[in-house]
Amino acid sequence: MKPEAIIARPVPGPDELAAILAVLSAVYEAGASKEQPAKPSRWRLAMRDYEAENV
Amino acid sequence: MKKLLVANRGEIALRIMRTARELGIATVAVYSEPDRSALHVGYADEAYLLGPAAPAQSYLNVEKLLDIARRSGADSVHPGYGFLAENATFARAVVAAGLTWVGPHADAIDAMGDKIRARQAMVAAGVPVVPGATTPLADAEDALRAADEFGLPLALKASGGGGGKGLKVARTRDEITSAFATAQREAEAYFKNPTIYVERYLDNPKHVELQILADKHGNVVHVGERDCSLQRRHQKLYEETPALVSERVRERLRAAGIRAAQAIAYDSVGTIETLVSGNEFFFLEMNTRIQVEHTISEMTSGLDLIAEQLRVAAGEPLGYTQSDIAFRGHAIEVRVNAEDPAQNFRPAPGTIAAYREPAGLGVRVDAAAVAGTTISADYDSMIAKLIVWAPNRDAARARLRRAIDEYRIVGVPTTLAFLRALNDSDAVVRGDYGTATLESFAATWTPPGSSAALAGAGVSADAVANDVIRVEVNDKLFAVRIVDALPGGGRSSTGARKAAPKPSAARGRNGRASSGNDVVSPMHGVVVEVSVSAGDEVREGQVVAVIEAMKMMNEIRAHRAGAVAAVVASVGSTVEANAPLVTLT
Repeated sequence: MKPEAIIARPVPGPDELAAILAVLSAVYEAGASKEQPAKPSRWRLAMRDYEAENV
Repeated sequence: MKKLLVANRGEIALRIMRTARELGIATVAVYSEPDRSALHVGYADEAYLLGPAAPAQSYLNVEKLLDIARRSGADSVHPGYGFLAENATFARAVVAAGLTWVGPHADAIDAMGDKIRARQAMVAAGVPVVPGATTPLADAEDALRAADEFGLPLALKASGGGGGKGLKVARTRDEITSAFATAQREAEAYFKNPTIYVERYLDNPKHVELQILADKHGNVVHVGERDCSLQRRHQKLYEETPALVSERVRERLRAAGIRAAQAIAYDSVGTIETLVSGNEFFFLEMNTRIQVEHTISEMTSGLDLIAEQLRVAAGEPLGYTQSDIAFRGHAIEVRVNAEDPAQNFRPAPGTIAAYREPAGLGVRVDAAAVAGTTISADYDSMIAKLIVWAPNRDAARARLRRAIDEYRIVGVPTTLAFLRALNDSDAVVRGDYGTATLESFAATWTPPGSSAALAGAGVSADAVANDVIRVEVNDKLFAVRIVDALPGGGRSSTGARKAAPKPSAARGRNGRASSGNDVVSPMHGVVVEVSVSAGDEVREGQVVAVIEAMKMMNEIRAHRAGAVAAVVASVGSTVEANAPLVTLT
């Protein structure tokens, strides 16, 4: 499975990133079904500014 | 003028109707079959179907338009830009039907529509023209003689042309014969007129145009000049006023533009286009219609050019002189097109899934789009014009950047990200650019990962609209967006999705640098996952390991299919660039 990329604004520190990933995993778990995997195999943080990308 | 038929579509139809409504003039819209639910149709007081999508059967159908004018009781016709706006035959037919034509008299359209006649008229009026011939070329031999006379590079241009079609540039004598043949072929194909003339081609000049406003009583004023140099394939993308030229050029250009308009007894809004090279300027052509980028002249002058155009069409005198027009501040317009700048600006028709316009002080959006609007392949790809005004140029550029960041269009790729980068490019910041600048900037520009690409891969509006997750960590709010996943964890299996561009930051890190039997790490990093074991069969492109480097997880993929002979890397270990991770048989 391919990793998922997230873009966060502002760019989180390491501890903050861990907390964010935990929340996202929980969101995915909640939306899981037989057809849809519970969560991505891993996350990738795109180190970009959200605003710069959001166009 | 009581009822105005707007013979156009899209943002310009809406733009015209807005002013008409302010002036108490009823509006009649026309539409093609795919435009049934277009905004201009809903906005008008009445609307009539023209026919199928093809312009020849709809917006270019003169008979049908005149029939609708008669049926609706319209007393005037505004052609907008494009379609029939510079068609003298249509202008005459409108007048012959007893209607008011909101545009210049047909003879002026004829005089300026033919590039050779226009050049001759400008020479007679003492307006500088690019060195070249005012007579048509008979053959390629003529073109070679012109090269001797005017020098190289040489531009071979279709007499009936425009928009870059039927224009070929010969940089050497060897290129002239084929350039002449190609220009003539295009001229015949696009304009049904194979006549070619020749001019010296200026390298990277500025494209600066003067907004003209004239009435039927001999009064002519200008409404400032616009710098429209930032173009691609002769299609403008970024326009600003005042133009970035010397005061000497500005004053002479304004005077020449007025003379040019007077020479043909011009009586409407129009634009004198020139090329500026150093302290020289040369007449290029005159557009005898309202121009797409008229908006920025409105922002700095305070005039409503459509209102002025309607007034003078009705026979009213201007009622003011040049000294009454005061210019204030700086305005920029950018074209928000449904095009993919990452794919050589390929037009990308489709349906807009989510749409939110920017707002705030000094921001204007002339658009005809909402969520659900389909950008049809039958018409041009423009979604909107984003216009900003500010007291000075730096503030206008900052405002444009802010407005672009607020603009949200999902469902089709757009030029927004490109325009943002262009706005911040060195050449634009310095104001030192010409007509070749945008093309060279585009060649070096790398698109960011975009939500539009995600949406283009089949994600629904709701899915995309919900893809920003707000996460609070220790009472600090983070807006988090998932770029490569469908909300809910689902994964699309469509081919289009696989083709979606990757974020540029990751692109260079996931390359397959491996060769031979070894799958190697392309960078220094920590092995966070090994996905295969000795004896496993792997496919080409299969992920075999994940390396963390610079806080990025990087998939390392097999460069070929094979069986895993040995796993060299171990989770938690640090590897150097080019270190083998897995060996294949």
